[in-house]
Amino acid sequence: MGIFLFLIALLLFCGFASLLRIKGNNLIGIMGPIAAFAGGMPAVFTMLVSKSYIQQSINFPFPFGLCNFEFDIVSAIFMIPLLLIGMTAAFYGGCICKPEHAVPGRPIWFFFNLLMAGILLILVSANTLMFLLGWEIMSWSSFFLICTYHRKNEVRTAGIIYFIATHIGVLLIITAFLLLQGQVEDFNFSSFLIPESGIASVIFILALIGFGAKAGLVPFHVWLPEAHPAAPGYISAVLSGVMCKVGIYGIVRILLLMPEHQPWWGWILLLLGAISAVYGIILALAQQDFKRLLAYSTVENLGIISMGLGMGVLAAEYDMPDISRLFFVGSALHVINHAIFKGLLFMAAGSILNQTGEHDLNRLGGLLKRMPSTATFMLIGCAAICGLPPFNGFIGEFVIFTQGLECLTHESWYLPAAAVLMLTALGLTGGLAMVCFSKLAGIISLGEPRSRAAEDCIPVNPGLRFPLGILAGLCLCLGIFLPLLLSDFMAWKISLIFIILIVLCTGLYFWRRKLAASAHNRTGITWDCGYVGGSNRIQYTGSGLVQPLTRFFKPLMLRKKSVKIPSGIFPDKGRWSIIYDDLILDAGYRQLFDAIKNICFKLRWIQSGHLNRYILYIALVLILLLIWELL
Amino acid sequence: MINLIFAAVILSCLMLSASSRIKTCIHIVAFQGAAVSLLPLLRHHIDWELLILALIAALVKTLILPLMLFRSMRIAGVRREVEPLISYPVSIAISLCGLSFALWLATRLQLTETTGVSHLMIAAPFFMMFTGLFLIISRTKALTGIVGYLVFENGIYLFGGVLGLEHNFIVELGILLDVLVMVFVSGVAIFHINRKFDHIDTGLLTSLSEDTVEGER
Repeated sequence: MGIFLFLIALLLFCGFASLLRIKGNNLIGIMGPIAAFAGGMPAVFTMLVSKSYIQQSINFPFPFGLCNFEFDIVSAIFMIPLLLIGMTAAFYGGCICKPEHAVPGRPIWFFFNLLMAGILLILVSANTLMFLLGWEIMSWSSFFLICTYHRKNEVRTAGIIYFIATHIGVLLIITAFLLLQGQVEDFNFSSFLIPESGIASVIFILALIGFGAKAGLVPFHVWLPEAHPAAPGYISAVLSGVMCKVGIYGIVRILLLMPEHQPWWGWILLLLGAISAVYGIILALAQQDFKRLLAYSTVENLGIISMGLGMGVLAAEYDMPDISRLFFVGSALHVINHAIFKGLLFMAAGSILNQTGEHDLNRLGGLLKRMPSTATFMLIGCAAICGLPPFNGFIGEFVIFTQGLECLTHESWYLPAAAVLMLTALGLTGGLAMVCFSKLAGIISLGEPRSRAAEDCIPVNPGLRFPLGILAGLCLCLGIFLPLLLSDFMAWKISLIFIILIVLCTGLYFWRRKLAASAHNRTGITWDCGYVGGSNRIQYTGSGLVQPLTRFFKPLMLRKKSVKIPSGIFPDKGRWSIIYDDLILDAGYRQLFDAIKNICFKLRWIQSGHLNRYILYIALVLILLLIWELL
Repeated sequence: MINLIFAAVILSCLMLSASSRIKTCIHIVAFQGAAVSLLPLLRHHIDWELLILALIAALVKTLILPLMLFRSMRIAGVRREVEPLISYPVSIAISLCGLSFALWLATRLQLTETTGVSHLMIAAPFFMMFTGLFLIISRTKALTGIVGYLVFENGIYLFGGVLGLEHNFIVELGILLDVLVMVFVSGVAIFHINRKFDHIDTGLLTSLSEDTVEGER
């Protein structure tokens, strides 16, 4: 336990030290997360092996009092993405040597360390005040990280959207904790009373919305697709891989704090998860900005995790503890795995963005030849996120899938109904994810460059490839070895099949190379097809590739189309562009906030600018309060 | 004797809300200051601290503050409140309402049983506070606002004096100093406002609010 408190202090120290104007201050900032990884991982593994529970109480000065800190298996699971992604992202960020990143006055490392310290505090605290303190630190520092490029207009908009979303969320979380707290004197989780079922449901709903806003569950996801493209790649990796998971951690913690669950809580989690997964992947499919695509895919994956949790709660309520446990295990595995491959993808996206300066998929292409290692790592990430064996995305979804099938045998009709819903959603999501990431990987790395920037780009420096390599390697290793952890569950068979698969693929690759070497080869332009006047523009575009699907799911999205038809006898240039936007953000929240704004403007006369009138308001309120008190 | 003083204070408040001349207002405030600061001497047994405090308070409230106000008046060149937001008869009516409210408060607060002071003594400070607030709200000249503030402050001081709250020498002196500085600063502010805008009409200061920053009137 002590090690984590020490690490929090260390991260804070590194954060503040990186603010000093001394030589090597950035290095200190980078060392913080790396030291945290080195110091924290052994403790996490010890915990995972021993499955025990460590508690410690520390007496803090006045507002806090005696605070409990706890480190259990749930904290340990969520600690893995934090330490791992934090470390790799810090390494990656440290190796970016483009001048625009090194401008003073952007204390990235200060906020980065603060963010990690805040999340670490959340994960180990068993005390309302400490938890909320960590939550606030996390929210604030991530806000500043998102606003790194604050000179751009859209970045500021994204920052404001995130700021509003996160603060509405924290308001609900505080309310939930206050209700859970009741009349108890101290703030430790252990002294909470068991709330009665009505109150418990209110607490659950408040916490679900509050934490769901952080986790990015639909319809509270609106900040994600704005914030992730705005932030630098490695920051997005931490936001998506770690911070969104903290939202899930909050939901799990609230479920653990309340011993008795209602079945409909499971239904709500399941429904939110299903909607998030399907809606997220459909919107991801339609995006052209690849970081936005990844952000929507985060929504999708958190939806899958949430579905697993919901099924877990439901199965526990219908007396199937073994299946319920495996649902939770599946969700936990997906938490870790998603952090790894999404971190990998975001950092790869950051590299591509740095080298080409292009946000738009349709202007890239052929990067497998120009940035071979980055593109290869990205391909591995794409394969993993689709859940393809033998990569790590497979195992979590596989466990959830198989347990969903197990649920079908239950005699009541509720659980099979839930399972059918989950299986449908998961299956649909998996299929669409395939298309979505084929599009991402195919358009970016295959074919010929579609723009000057993509044609001229050069590989990134080795320091930026190294963390990607670690994560890609982990995708493969975890894919093979994670099944072995599930001892009661056909574990070794999966690993064996994976190893056979890998051996087969490698064998096929070398065989093909041998055949190709002996044959007579001729190299030409990709997509040349023997056509003489070939142009890069005859290739598939990203939008073209997914057009049949986006057309089908058109009602779920807001389509913005702009067409300019060439006219005249000698036609000039024409253009045709189509953008799919979020229906919930544009048609839902924007309308709502516009309505609120209108009401506020109608009340504008209150603020007249007359000092006398303001004093009158104060006097009236005071007198009314006095009368109310005395009556 | 004490009741007479209280009656005088209440009457002076009524006069305050009806008088249009700022000079009269300042005179009344000076009188109230004297009454308020010397009142504790009539009620409690006198020790040195109380005596010194009362004398200093009387000095500040009856001499220094009014003199500073007269000076501001001279600087700003105003003699009377030209356009009160609320006419004088209505002001009197509202003040009477305020007096009845203060009396109602005095009966509801149930301080008479615990401390043994009469209803009138409780009502008077509340009425003073009410009048002070009323002056601030209903008059446009900044000087009258300061007068209102002083009346309000006197009311609070009187309330403390009536209840015989534990007088801490340092705290009371600190409050006095605050009031002094506030009037001083307001005097400077009035001087500057006057020079900038050629009037000290706070009603026209709306042109400084967010909406109309660009279009200076």
